[in-house]
Amino acid sequence: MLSSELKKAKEAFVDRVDPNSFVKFESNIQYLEKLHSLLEKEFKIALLTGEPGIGKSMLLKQFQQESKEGVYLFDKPFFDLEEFKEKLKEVLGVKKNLFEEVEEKISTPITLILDEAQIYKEEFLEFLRVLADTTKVKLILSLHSLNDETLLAKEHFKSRIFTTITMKPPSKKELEIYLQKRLFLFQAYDLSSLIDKKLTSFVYNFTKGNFRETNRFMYKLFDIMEYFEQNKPTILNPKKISKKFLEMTALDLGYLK
Amino acid sequence: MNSYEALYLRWKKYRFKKFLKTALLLGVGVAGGFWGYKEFFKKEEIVQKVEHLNRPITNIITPSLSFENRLARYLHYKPKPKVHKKVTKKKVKPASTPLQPSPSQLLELESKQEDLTTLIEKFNIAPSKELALLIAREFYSQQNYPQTIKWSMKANEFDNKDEESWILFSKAAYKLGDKRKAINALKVFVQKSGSLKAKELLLSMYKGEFK
Repeated sequence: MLSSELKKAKEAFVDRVDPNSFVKFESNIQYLEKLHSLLEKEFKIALLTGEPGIGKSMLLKQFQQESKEGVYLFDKPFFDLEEFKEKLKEVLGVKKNLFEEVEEKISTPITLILDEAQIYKEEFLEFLRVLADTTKVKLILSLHSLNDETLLAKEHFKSRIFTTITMKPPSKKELEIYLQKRLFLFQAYDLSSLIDKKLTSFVYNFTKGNFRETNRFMYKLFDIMEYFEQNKPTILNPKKISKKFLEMTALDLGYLK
Repeated sequence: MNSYEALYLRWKKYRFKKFLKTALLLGVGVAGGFWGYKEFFKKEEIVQKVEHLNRPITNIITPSLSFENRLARYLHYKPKPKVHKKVTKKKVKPASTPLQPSPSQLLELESKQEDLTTLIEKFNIAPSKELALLIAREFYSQQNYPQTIKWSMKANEFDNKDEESWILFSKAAYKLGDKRKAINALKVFVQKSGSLKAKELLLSMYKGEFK
């Protein structure tokens, strides 16, 4: 196990939203298919929900990349409605009156995806509702959860919501595939081959399949291994990822006490 | 010290604690298992005992008097005229060939008969368990099983817990071919007293080893 391999492994688990490091497995393939099927349907608002770190942003990024024209993703939240309006004008090529020009200029409806929609206030959401009512703009809003307190749960929004796609944590097997493929994508081939069911189960017990948590765990694991590889190589077994390092990682991240 | 060095030490402590916990749990588990095992068998033993005691006793042989009536057909003895002879307690050996006794044996038998007559007379004057047992024993050794039954029951009237009276009764009944009666009587006595001797005899009768 070389230090360079461990460096690549660390790099593989840096928390980033990069479609190049998107790993496909059964459940997220299904979510992607559902999103693609939405493009062929007429709707005003669709929701994508799931707990933080479940991979919504990554999925949306991948979806946008796979889609043809007419799909716009706003992955950074807007803290000001005016800022959003300006950005929208720029995207749609509108100069003055947004609603009038949208009605006139857009013949085929476009799809706008807004990530982190749970942070938007009532005024912002009202604007989105009016925009969706033009039937020229289809909205896909991504948010953590849709509980009764969410503005989107209010009746005038509810009636416009076409569908809700709820993302769930991956299974252990899917997480194993995720870990192997992610390492493979970053050319940490030896380490990729060392990912097995036992290791995945250990990680899954703590992270419950949450990708953000899993990435954090794996990054820390390889960081610890890298340190010992450089300073105490005798305690490192090159043929396996020892439980010792998994436990040290869990201790460091506060999963174990 | 590097933070990962400190982490390594923390991990060592964690492993040690985990080891202690596991050892403790294992110890408790083994002790618990052992205790459970013992309790289980203890309970089973109690259940067996209770079941044994609760088992309805069929064919109860009422000791003492009731036997006397039922077994009247065995009783042929008629007392002989009074003979003045000293009562001697002799150990009587079982007759080897009772059907065709030799002259010397006949003499012995006669003398035994005389002894028994004396004993019976003595019993009639001063009845006692010991005397009744002695007579029953003598009759048994002479292979006079109906009389053995009669006298063992007499002895039993004095003390219905007397082991020998039950044993003599059962042996005589067995010899008379009433195997069921012999076994039932022994069963009742074993249940009442737990006598080892009676158990052994019962077992030998069950197996058909008793001769």
